[in-house]
Amino acid sequence: MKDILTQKLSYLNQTVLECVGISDEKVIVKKFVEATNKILEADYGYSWFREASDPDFRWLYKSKSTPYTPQQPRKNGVMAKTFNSKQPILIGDVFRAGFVRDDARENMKSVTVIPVTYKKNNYGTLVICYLLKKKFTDNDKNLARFIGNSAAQAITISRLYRSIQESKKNLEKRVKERTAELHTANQELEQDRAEDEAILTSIGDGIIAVDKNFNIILANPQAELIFQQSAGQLKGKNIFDVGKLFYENGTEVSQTERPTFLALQNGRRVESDKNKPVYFKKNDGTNVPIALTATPIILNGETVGAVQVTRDITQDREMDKAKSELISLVSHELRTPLSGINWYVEALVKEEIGKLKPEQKKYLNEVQRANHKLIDLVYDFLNVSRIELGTFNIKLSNVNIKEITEEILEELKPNIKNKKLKISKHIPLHLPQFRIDRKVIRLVLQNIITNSVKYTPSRGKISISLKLKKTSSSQNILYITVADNGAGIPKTEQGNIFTKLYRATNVKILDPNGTGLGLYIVKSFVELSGGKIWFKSREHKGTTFYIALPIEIKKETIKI
Amino acid sequence: MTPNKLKILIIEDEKSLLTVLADKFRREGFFVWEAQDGEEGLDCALKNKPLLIILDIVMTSMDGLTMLKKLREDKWGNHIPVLILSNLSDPQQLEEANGRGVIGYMIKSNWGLDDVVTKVKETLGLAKKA
Repeated sequence: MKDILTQKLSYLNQTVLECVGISDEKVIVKKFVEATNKILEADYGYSWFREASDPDFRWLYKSKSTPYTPQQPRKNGVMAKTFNSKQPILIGDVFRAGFVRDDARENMKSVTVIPVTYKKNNYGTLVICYLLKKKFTDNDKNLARFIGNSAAQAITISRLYRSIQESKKNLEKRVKERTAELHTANQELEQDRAEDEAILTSIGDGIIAVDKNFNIILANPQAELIFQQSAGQLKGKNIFDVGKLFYENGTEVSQTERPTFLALQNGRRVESDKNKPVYFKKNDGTNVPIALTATPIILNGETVGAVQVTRDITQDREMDKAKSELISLVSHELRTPLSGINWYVEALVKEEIGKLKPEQKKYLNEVQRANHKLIDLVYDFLNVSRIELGTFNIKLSNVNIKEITEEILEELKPNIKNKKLKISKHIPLHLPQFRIDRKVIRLVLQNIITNSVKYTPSRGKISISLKLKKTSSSQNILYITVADNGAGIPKTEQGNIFTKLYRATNVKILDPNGTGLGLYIVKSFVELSGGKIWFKSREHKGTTFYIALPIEIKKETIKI
Repeated sequence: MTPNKLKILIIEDEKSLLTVLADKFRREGFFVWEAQDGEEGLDCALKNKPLLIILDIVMTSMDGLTMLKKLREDKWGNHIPVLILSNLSDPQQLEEANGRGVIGYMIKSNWGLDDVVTKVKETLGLAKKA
């Protein structure tokens, strides 16, 4: 007896082992049905499985010798009972038991229903049938339970195996996908790098990248050309040792003034000052004018280096000069015929050539007025062109500001007289001699005073004051204040008065001929000179303009 | 030639401007020589020795500043008052002219004929300064 049982158990173990590595559950079930038939010496068997979430059993396998087609088990049939109780049910005489279905009863005399279950896992049942009646013992029941457990273990292993296989497959799939992604990214990166390199090599400006210690990490061919060293030589060197830069007067540009230093220190883009050209001295002694732009390299909020773009502006400067000369020429050419008209009409209007009829005089006055407007426009055109082409150059010279003020007032004399305006001047008796750009100071004073004269009604007051203020040992500021009690600027329009071509609504009525360029030019000139302009104004009360201009003071004092 | 008239020389290459200026000064009682470029002007000046010269800058044959330089090399020409009347507003030209001792630099389009006459009369002591 014991030997047979041992044989049976070893056969069962064998079956479990055979199932390892099989992922198809049906194959495992088939093996177990056949093995159980053998072990329990049954005539045929079949198996139903059920998922915990599913109320219905699903058909898995029946042995070939099964004489009929088993029907879907009933909700409270033997199968369901076995499944729910996880206990084998052994029926020695199905006829007497009464709860086996008729179709089954005709094809079997006794039956063992084995739950395929192990620990938490409950998979279904094995139904093992006999054509004869049987007398089952407790041993049969234990064996049945054991077979069920073994089958369940095999299924569990199989499912585990399957899920491992699947994860492996998924993993492989994901690895493949990621590899493909990586490949694409690499390709893009390489393409980008090739493009970057193409741009870097073909670009007309010298590009040098430095780390945060100002050591060069990259240089393009144009940088090699400008600084006359190969990229290999440049790499690793401190940028300040490679390209020493000088101002026009020969003094060296200190490290702390250089855009690359400032960009790294302040973490923002810095450009070299267009009005203060810098030069790089080549090996052959020639000076190359250059413009520098430095941009910080910021990684995760930290400045880790900077890129210095160096541009050889030799050609730009020649172009600027040519443009500037052209504008100067054009404005000269335009002014000559305008002066002709002006003078001929003047002689006519003053009846120096002959008496005029009142109508003729009126018409000629209109010609003269239009001509003056054209002359003004040519001036404005010249100035706007200078501002917009950037060909405006500050040229300091000794300037007698009192004389300039008098000159301007002299030009405006007819208007001042007509309107009986009261002009008061507050100019210090002793002004140190100072240097300032003549055209800037003249244009500023002329525009601001002319506006006051134009927009102040009869018997109005205009006050002009000049003041010098020392801000530091080398820095001095000239303050110009021009105040009037004229038309004023409407509050809503005060933000626009420095805008090009803008004219306030009230002044358009007072003087329909203005161009709207005057204050735009004044502001640009003042700011290009490093100065500031602002104003206070109330409509119908008056306007005060304040201008602050940096000046250079000479040591000796002169009396003006 | 009327001996009691004040004699001036106007050098201006734009014929219409030259005419209107010369006519104006003549109406004001001046005797006027006219020249249309620097070379002609220099010859005329050295030959006739006017009391004052009105000089344009941009001219085709010998520009005003070159003419002025040559004039200043002459013993007589060194002291003669010169009034620049130009449409160039380039401060560099202005500085150069100032360096050669001019009595004034007037931008043509900024001034009327009467203003030019006034300036000349002031220089020659015929009118009080404003």
